[in-house]
Amino acid sequence: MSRVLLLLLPLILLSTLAHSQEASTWNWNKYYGTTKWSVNVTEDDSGCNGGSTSWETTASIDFNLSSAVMGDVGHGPANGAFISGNILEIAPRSVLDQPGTSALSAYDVYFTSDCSAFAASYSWVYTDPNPIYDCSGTTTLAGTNQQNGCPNPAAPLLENQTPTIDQQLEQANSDLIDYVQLQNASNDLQAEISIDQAFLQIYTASGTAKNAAQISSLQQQISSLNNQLSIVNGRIGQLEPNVEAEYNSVLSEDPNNFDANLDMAILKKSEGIPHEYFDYMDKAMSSGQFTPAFKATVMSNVAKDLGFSTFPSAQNSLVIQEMQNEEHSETGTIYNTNVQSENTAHASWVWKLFGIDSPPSDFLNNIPSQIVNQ
Amino acid sequence: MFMKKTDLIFAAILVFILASGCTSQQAAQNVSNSSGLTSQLNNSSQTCMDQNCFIAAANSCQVMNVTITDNVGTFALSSIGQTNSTSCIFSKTVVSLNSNETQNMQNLLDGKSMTCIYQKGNFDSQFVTALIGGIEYCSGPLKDDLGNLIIFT
Repeated sequence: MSRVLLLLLPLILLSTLAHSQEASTWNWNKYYGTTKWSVNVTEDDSGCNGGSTSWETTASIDFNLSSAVMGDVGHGPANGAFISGNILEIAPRSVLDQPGTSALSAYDVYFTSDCSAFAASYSWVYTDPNPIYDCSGTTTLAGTNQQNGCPNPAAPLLENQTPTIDQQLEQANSDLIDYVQLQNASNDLQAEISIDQAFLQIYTASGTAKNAAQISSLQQQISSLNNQLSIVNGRIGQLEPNVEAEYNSVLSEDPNNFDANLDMAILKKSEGIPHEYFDYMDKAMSSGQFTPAFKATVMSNVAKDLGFSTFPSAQNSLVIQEMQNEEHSETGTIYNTNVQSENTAHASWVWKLFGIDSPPSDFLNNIPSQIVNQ
Repeated sequence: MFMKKTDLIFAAILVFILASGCTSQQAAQNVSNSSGLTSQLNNSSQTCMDQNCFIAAANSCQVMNVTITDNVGTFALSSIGQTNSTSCIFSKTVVSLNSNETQNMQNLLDGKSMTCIYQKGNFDSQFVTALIGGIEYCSGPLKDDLGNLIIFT
């Protein structure tokens, strides 16, 4: 019997017994929404001359009735389809596993019917640019729902019911986070390929015979990175139109929606469309929800992420002082935009610059959602 | 088996910087252990001692390294390019911030790096002379942290 079922068997038996005596039972395949989970990940690397390691992480699961997407717990987000009320089947897939790739087996995610937990286990085969490092292993997941009990009984969506704006925004935001992470991965890969190509040229110019080992290693690495880039860009191409359509659907009903405009600004920035980034930021900032309380929350979240117990300022930090001087004396263009068309003395300029230069995933995680919990 | 891509980029650049002729004893050891590539780089007739020289070299995508100190701190800069490509790479590493900087900021930024790809003949001198000028086209831990710090300006 698989490890997964051993983990879950007591819970499954108890919940089955309970449900035989109750009129209603929870089925995740009837739910539309996002839930957050604490996940214990155990990776068995003994096939890679390693041991077994465990760590705790958190992940969101986006439920869309008959399907769901589990957030990244180490091998990227995983799309699945429910084969029963509480069993989610994840198809086999290949993922980046720097510096190589890993082929993951198909696996089932077993959810308990009291919504408290899930378990899953899969095997993987790692392929390295240098074949001597190819190996295999297994990963086991044990998730605990961060919310007590099942979602609000009013939240489950019937199949013929239209999601509310807030439900649409939750789904869109989750997809956007996946998208910007993929975009970051693509940018990093492209930078890495450029650097490797530059080194390859230098080694080649210096002498192919005496640098044969370095040249061969770099050529293999560049080939592997290009394969990875192709996979990532393929996934970006699949996700991008869906994310944009999700936000456009919200904005068609509520053009001044703060969350949607802010998230679209980040999407446009990730797509490399500066003027649309600024347009959406302007709309978000004039929505009435860009309040002192909102700004204070974001600053507090960022300070906590960076390890600051108090906010750094121009009064106590040479770095902040220098950055402030640069912002106030800026001329020319920033992000393909003529700065003279912006009022750089206005406080909103700092926030636009923050949106341009902070990592998109950090920006999205530090922005408090305006979604009202149902 | 999940390794950070940026760590690999900066490890590669660090090896390259050390191999191309820093003045420390450790760097000299690394130079003497190289395959001969570094001796060619060390024999290069061009070196830079200030930012203007570096800016000119980077603009033509020459292989160049320099360490610069200003009122904010000490930064290691390097440029590298390919002869058959107009795409060149600049990297900037915080060696150490000014000792008058807050400890939190030093802990955050010391040792962090970023990489910027630019076109030959179009090197943005702000990469050298400024902290945040032009960083929208850069990537790496230093860029990420500076981007987040903007909220406090």
